Amino acid sequence: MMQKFRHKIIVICGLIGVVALNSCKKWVNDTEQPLEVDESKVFSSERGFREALNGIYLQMGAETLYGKELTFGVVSLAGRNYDSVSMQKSGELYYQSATLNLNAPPVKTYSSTVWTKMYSAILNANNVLENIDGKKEIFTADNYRNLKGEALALRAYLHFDLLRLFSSVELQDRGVPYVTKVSHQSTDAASVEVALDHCISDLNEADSLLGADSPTTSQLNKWAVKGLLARIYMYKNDRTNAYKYAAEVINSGKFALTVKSNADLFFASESLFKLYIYANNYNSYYKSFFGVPALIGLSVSSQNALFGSPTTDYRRNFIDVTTGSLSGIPILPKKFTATGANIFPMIRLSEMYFIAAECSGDITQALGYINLVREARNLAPLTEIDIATADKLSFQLQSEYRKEFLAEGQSFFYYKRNRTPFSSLPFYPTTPPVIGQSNLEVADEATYVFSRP
Amino acid sequence: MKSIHSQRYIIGLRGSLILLLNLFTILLFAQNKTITGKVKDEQGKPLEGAYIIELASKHGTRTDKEGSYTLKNVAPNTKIRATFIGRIMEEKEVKSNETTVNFTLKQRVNSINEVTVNTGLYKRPVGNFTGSAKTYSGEELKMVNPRNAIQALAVVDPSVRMLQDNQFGSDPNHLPNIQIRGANNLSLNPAGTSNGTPVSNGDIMSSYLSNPNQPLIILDGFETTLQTFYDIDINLIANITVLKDAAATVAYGSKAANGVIVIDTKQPAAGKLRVSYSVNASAEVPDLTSYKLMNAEQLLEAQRLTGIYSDPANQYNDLAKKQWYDYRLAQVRKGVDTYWLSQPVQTGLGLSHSLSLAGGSGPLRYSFGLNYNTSEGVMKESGRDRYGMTYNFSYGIKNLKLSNAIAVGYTRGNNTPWGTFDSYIKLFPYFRSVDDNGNPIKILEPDFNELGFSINAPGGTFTNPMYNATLNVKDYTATLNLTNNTNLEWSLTDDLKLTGSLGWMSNAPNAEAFYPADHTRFTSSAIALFPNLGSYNHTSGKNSSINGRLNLSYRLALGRNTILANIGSSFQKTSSNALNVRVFGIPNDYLGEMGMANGFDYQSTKPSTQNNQTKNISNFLSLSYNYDNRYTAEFTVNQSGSSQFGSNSRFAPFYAGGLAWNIGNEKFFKQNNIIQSAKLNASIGITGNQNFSSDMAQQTYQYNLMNNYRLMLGANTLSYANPNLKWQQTLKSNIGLQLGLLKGRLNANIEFFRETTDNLILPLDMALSTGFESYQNNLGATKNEGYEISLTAPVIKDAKRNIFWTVGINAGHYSNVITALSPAIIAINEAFNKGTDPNNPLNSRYQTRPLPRFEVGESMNRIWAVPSLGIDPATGKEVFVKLDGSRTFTWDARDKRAVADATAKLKGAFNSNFNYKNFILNFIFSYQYGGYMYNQTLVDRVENVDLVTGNADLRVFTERWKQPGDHSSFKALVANGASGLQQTNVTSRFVQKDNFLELASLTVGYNIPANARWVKAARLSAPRIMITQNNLLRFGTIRTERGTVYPFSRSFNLGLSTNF
Repeated sequence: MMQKFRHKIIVICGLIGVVALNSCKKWVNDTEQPLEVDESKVFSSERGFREALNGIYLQMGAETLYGKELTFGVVSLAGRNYDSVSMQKSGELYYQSATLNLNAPPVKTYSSTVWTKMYSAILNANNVLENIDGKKEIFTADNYRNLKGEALALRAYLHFDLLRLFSSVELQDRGVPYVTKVSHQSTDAASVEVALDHCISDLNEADSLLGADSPTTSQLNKWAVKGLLARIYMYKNDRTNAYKYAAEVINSGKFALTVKSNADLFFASESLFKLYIYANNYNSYYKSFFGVPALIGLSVSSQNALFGSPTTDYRRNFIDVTTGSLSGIPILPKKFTATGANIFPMIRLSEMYFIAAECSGDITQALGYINLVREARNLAPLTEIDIATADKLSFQLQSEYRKEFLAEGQSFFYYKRNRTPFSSLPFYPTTPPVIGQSNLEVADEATYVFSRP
Repeated sequence: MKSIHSQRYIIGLRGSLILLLNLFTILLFAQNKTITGKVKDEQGKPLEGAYIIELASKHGTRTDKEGSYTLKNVAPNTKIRATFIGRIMEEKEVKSNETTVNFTLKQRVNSINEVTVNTGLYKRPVGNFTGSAKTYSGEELKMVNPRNAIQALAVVDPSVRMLQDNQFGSDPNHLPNIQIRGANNLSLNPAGTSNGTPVSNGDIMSSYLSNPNQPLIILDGFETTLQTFYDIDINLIANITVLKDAAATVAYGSKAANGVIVIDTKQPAAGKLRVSYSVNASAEVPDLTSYKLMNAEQLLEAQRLTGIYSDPANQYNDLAKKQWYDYRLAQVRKGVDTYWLSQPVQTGLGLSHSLSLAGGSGPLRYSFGLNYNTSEGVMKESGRDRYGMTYNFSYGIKNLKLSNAIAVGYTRGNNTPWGTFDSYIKLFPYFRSVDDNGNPIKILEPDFNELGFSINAPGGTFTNPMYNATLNVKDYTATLNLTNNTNLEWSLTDDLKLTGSLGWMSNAPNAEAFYPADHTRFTSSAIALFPNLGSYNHTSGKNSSINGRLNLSYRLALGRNTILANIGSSFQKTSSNALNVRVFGIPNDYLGEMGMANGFDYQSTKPSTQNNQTKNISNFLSLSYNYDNRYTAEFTVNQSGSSQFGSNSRFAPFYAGGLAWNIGNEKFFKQNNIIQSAKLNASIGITGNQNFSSDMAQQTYQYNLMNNYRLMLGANTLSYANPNLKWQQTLKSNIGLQLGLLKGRLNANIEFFRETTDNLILPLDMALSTGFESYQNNLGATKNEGYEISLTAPVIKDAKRNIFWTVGINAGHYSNVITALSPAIIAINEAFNKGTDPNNPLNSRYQTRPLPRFEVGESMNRIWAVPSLGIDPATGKEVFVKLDGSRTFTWDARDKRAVADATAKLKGAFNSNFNYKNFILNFIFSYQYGGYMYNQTLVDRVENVDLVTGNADLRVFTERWKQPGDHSSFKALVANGASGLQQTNVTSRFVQKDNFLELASLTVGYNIPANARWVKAARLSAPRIMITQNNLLRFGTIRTERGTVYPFSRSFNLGLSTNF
């Protein structure tokens, strides 16, 4: 009797134990960390995916990335956009960047930050991609395709810029790791060509996923993807494909060059993709850069040299950063002060025209493309003589790139892509010195390749 | 069980035989009668509620208040049985002529007449226990230190080490840092810094995070915080058990690796109402003997020698500095020589009262306690007040026992408004502290304009921290604790017991710090604008934990075999949150309210919150088998689960086994005069440690609320959550031998242990292209080995004349070695040596203290310094030895070597307890031998001095190298007028032996005879007077300033206790 009773108790206790244990596992697993949100919760709704992608744009808008340094900061300095740079006022990082001494310690420190932050953004894109396929059912309309396409495009965009910064332009040289998974294991870096092909295949997939009608150009969209493809093929020197995608964008009818207006010198409506940078931050970013004490910018004499004097070019518009007026030290490109200028252009239609001009292979066609941009900027058209030879075309394009993308970071990549000799860079000290021309030395150890950590 | 059964069966058989034999008689003479009687305990007190049953007919009754029963209709020559919870049942045969049957039920003592070990989860008789555990009674600890149980424990147990905190000294509001058998975790903070000291906000998790080596603390069966232990009234403690090895701790599974401290409070006992009261008065005296500072004249001369009052490069400044010299010299001549050290200190008085009422009869027992403890610290106006109330009751019906304990506690720690102690050490003695009217002077020197000098005083403006004490400064931390534990015990049979417990603990810490605009901290602040002067800081939090437990214990005795089984399951949920708000701009000291503030800071200070949740599950099964009181085998397995771990390893098993052999009970063990008893025990097992933050294992997203993307939220994941993160595991093995020698004249206990910790959680550097900089992985391993010996000898045991004298000595040793490390640690080691230009004092200032460095094969407590050959008598410069053996004057971080180990080879205590009639004289010396210490305060006070801004040790003046040919152990003063900064980077010259002998406690007591007339008249029982002095004497090989921010103290206690 007693024995039976005892057995019963033990059996019951055992059963309770087993049941309890299983429910306990669930109980333990379900612990929230109140100030952070578990990824399972973020990825339980369409909105969460959207927020995770927004997070990547916010990371990109950081001061060390596109919020400042990769656009008008370090990369524009290395792209010889400014001649008003001094070691004392601007600091060593900016000065060494301007002299293309990219292995100088402060530039190295900075570039390792870029490497870390860019890959952190890539990680966030990868985490979205790793989760999105399992959650197809929660999306409405075409949002699964759009969000996935956007994440793929972001991954390609970031990798391509890393590649342009940290690898040489030669296809067989070492590229950067193309990371496609969230893991603590590192991905090996293959050649530049392989990395470019990875970008292209991600973009092709994004192209096929994204719908033609994007609600906004503040996110990567189908046309930005095509524009990016044109840019990548151009970098790869695959002119056929570069031309194909540039023409596709130009002929899409989605974007048009601004008609004779100098209200917004970023020409926002021409942007295939623009990055929104938090307005408060943005103002302090550019003011601290162009203003006291750094006082970086393009001096009046160099403005005259670049745009011509007098000129009708809308883009020759510089002001003093502290007063906003033309008097004082007018070295800040006025584009930074337009309303809504904190939506920074990342790929612009004009670049498509330049790519098309560079790749068309036909002088008349090329002239057409360049002149469309020149007209929109209130300049007289060029004639066929101006671009009669490849060298002449290249000279004109370089000049157009400099004027169009002043302080936007693209000219550095233009010089790099064209393997421009350092002695041909703007402000290269000439012997004997030309009176009135600014000199900005190029370091003996100058390079177009940022050093990776 | 079976044996009892068979016995019963035999009894039953015998009974039925008798029945059969008497069948006819019964049939013939059957005449039922009424039996009455009383049931008492061994003291003769009646037992209410005892159950009386007639075995044959199974009908029964209960005793009343007087313990009397009446059992009607009892057949003659039958058997009746009396049972009562917790007592041994008794059966009696009722003889035909009997009508009164009385029972005396004895307290159930465990089969082996020995003490039990309480592991907090289950109790086990020592004979069935194979682990390493040591129990100390509350009385014993109170004798050592009547106010601080933690300190007392660290003195009496060689395995418990309380890390000395040279910074916070005897600050009553600074919790100690304790370890059992050394550290199993690496600390990345430089030695001697206060990082890693436990926080006092009462949150279970955060205190572990700040000290990952902290043992688990169990109070009456439930996990509690170090703060609760620190603030507990020592009079409430019944005993404290320190569980050390795997066999003793493994039932706690993932929390067991650092050892366990189990605190049992006194439980209500039966009997009439008893009142006990004890009062303790204490005095704490600051110990300033280690400070030898320069006086006004010496300091001024030393300053002059350093070149503070001259500027050869600039004649204009040179003149002004000479003017300042003359001004200060005039002060010295006037006789100003303020002894600043005595200004902020006081003799801290303390008083504690503890009152308890306990009683109960029959099934109901209760106790009620009140305690109040106020103690002043040695810094003026600092102190800690504690208020506590406890209420326990238990009620037993049949075989159920319900008990409930409520504890309410309030602690308020006031921090001194007088500032840190070292701010007084630094002040120049040629400053006057008060003006002619006795009011503290706020700015200690007139402005240079006032004096007509052309530049500021060397060192800038000096303010008087004493001045702040005149302001309405608020700086305190208060905590309100509430605990409720409910227990239900169900004795299914005598040997099978089910216990369910539910505990709820909550505490609400609250800290306020208010500094009005007039406070000296705002004087020199150049950035602060008038509307920002004055600050108010508010921190409040709420921490709670819910614990539940279900335990089943079972005991089976079969002849010589005894089996004990315990199975249990527990859950714990903790949550903590904290809010910190800081506002600025409070102009007046009487506007000490947050609402009076101007707003947040000129920098964007924003409120911060913290929030943490953990959930844990732990199940255990523990079996113990004993054969013939000779051999014991124990096995315990635990399964733990915690939300803190990676999703792939939320649950993990832990197990341990032990064996014990009681050699003394063997037949071959002959009676002899040397060894009377011997017991050998050994155990091995794996335990875990989960003292780390919970977000290491979960991939989480953070929302960025400062920023938005086109008015939409954005979220980022920033750290790599390692889904494979495992429990840090410690394999513990222990061998112990207990000997009884010389007929009880000497008891010896020796234990050897080894603890190897694997899966040490460390940050690992990742390829940056993964998007993360580092992630947490199980990557390191350490090994601790050591032994503990304790000897006690009752030298005199004369019960006749009432003289008892016992002496004891204990010693503990352990050594630590790192056996595996992640490459990330190597990177950390390198980072410590990078970027230091020894010629730039500002750059390398932080190399003035030894930085941690971890190498496989070395101890984690190693002191790394550059070997020094001493001071070159010719130049007064220090000569260093480079790694290649060459000599140099230049200090280089890369030349650092492991020069000594900070862990003492031997640490222990010896004690003597002497009773003569009613007099008691106890003392405990604690000692340490074989450890080294980097004499940070010496080097900081003698060489790393900044004479422009602070006073320094006298030896700066007297013992430093002055001229060629001097043989000095301190290098020359460098004439550096610009900064006055002297720099000595970490060198073997200041690595000193840290041996000491300290009279930790001296107690004199008197038990007032119970037959004294006044005692009787006052209806007192067992009154006693105790005088305890702590840290009275100290002999050390190292002369160091102890307590920089807060001085050390010696304490004296006078205690009285009595029962009514």
